Amino acid sequence: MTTSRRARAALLAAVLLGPAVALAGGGEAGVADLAGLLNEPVVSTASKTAETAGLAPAMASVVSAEDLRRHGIDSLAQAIDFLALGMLTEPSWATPEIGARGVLLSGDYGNHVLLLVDGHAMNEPWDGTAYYDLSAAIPLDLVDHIEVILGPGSVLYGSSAMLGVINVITRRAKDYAGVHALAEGAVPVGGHAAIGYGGESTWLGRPVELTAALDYAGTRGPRQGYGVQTYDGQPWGGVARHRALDVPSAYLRLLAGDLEVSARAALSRRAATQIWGSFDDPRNWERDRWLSLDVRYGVSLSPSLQANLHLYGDLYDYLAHEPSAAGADCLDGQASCVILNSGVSRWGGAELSGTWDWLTDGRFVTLIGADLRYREVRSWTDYDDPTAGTSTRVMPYDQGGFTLGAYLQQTLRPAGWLSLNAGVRLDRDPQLGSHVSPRLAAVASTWTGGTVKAIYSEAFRAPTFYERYYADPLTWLAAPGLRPETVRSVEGVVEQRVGADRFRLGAFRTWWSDLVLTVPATQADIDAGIAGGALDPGATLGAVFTYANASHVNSYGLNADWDGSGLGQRLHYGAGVTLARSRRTGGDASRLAAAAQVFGNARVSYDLGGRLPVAALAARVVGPRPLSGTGFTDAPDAKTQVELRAALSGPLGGGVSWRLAGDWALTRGSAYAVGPLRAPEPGYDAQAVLPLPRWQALAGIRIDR
Amino acid sequence: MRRRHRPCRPRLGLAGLVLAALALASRARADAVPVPVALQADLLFAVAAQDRNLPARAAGKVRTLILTRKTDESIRAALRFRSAAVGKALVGGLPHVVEVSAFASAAELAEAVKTKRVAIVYLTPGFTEEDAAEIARALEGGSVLTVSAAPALVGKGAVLGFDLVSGRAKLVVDLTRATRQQVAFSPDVLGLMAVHP
Repeated sequence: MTTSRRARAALLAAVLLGPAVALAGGGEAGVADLAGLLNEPVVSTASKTAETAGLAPAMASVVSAEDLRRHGIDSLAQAIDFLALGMLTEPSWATPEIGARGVLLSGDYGNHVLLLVDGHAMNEPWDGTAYYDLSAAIPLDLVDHIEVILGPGSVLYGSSAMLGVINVITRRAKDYAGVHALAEGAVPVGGHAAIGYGGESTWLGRPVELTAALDYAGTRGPRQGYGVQTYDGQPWGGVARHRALDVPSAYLRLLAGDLEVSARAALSRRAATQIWGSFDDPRNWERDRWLSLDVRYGVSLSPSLQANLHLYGDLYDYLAHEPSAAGADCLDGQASCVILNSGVSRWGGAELSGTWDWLTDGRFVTLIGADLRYREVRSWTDYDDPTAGTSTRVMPYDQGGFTLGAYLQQTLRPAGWLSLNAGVRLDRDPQLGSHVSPRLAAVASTWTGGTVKAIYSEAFRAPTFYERYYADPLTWLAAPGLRPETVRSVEGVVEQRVGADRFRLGAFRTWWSDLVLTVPATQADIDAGIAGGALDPGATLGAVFTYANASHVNSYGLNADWDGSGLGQRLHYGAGVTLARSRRTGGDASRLAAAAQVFGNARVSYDLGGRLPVAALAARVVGPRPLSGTGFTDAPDAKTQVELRAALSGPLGGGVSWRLAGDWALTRGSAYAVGPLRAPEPGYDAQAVLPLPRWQALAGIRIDR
Repeated sequence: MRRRHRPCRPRLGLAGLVLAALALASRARADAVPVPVALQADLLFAVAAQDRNLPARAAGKVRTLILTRKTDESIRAALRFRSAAVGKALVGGLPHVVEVSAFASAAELAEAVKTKRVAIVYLTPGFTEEDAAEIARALEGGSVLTVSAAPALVGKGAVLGFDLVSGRAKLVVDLTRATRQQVAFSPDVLGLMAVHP
């Protein structure tokens, strides 16, 4: 390199990095470096081992409890949208949908992302359901941090970890000591109240700690206008509350020595007035209930060998209560009906794992484990006829069985600058066969403060019981022969720490195969369904659908983010952006509905110190994306959405503090069609779109004693 | 109507499991290493370099003594910390050497610190609050930075400790103990730490 080139490179580096160094500065580079080390996130989800995010075999970001508090965040969806990298949620008909790096599979109920709470899987087996708004039913006040791991993660976690893994880690008692209470109110109408406790003690000479929280969150939403549509002679539309939601939840975590017990009970009841059936009928709702128990015990057998036992059990049920005045929605002979769609799942299992540190210095470590799980799913749909007082149950199913997952991960650090991670997991399901999910990762600390990662990984999602067995004599054929969806991914990440600032740039390429899609049933399928009694004799081509492994998607793009702190850790800032190109392969190479190809966020907060407040601003931008749920081929894309959040919080003294927060959205329209009409008809030539609330303001007070 | 299943009876089994595990549980979790050892090493030597008394204490060579107890976790942490620490050839611009030693008594430790001019003592998991207090008394008036892998010993005798809060490492410092062991950080550095109590 010539002298002039070096000078230009130095000048460019100074221009690009100078402001960051100055912000982080505080004077000495050593202090800034120390601040940078303290800003380095520590994650435990990517390899089931605590490690810095820079060394983890995945691109990971961490949302801290401080971030949540500073920015007035009150749901996982907001945390992901405003504070994390690479993932986003889309406000949908009922609860938000989640996507990552340009891929969002609309209608999946969150089953392409594995959601964990303290390592306990939330996705249930009936439909893989996991929610990200208030319906996630996780007491946010108890959250210590949220780890967002991008990319396939089946190597350690099995099914559903296709887009990534989100692990919500709750607080330890030392960080939640005492009694905590909060009450918040929002306009348009919403409310949140919580009470929690954290304490440490000893029992039988052993250290014991307990954290627990009870939480209620509810909304009634703004009044929104919906264009009137006519469906089967019945009017649909008008002005209605956007959505109503009631979510009580409770979480408890007990640690005693090396034993950890956690339990969760929660319920989410949502009005579904704008989703199905009769418009704005208060009897139109859906409900989820959860009960979970998780027990972990770890024992050290030698300096080199540790063993862990993990026992878990869950109960979940779902009920959709859908009255419809349209006879077309009901069974033959019913002029109107109430449709009750129920799903119940129970699962439990034991996971035994061991860690063998061959050299006892962390340079050559083997993790091996096996997870034996039993799951049972029941589902049915009742058509109640309120006029006749009768109820007809259709297509019930009751399925269950064991699954086994066995995994092996080897980490190797042959030199201080090089870390290698290789793993493989075998999942065996008697109904679906076997699936192997490998991962290879190399992380090199190539220069001061810099790391380079290369990762190859695969993941899968077993088709849910709902996808395989849901059926309806009027409209739907079961698809018991579905195969697992798979994804392969390669990615590279460059990370550079400069003082207290961290810059990351990642490039990824993914190949998705056998994606489960809704497709029209063929005439042969319909004939067979009628002959076998699965369909009513009147079922016709075009009106009957089924699930099929019918789609493949290729995706590539870039992730980049920057975060840091300065001014004595009082200033925090960050920004992230994702650029992707995702297309279905074959046929028309169509775009994915509701999947933004460009999105990002930025945030800044400043602690004024003492009894003065913390001020925080955050913004989120989501680029244009095709409408989901429409049959209009010429429907325009959903407009670019910009959302802004502002929050102020501060102490009042005596353990009392306050919070004010507000958010505002630039665009009123969502990326989802709404109403019963989804295709052109006489007098209906443009797709109606689900409207979104434009703003909300929140005020709250909390007491920590 | 939904079919009702007989309720399962987890409570009795769970209570039994809790009691059994409590009886068997070691003290490991209270002493558990919350921050990855490699990051602890990075932080320790970055912060030690900011100690204004390090050059005088080290007398040309920074000696780090990793102190162990007879527990699996202590030995494991010691070997992992040594593996990370030996990669730090310079600390505060001075040559750096690392030793591992089993803890015998506070008096012996104080003697070793004095004769070998140990600048940093790293307490692996396994040390109790009583151990830390005894060590602090023995090192009082000397010049040495004592660091605990776990935050619980800060305030009980260690000058510095590591904690993990909200997915990020925290440095916890006992300023009184720091003064008594002639450890002096600048206000900028202290601004990055949590001060105990």
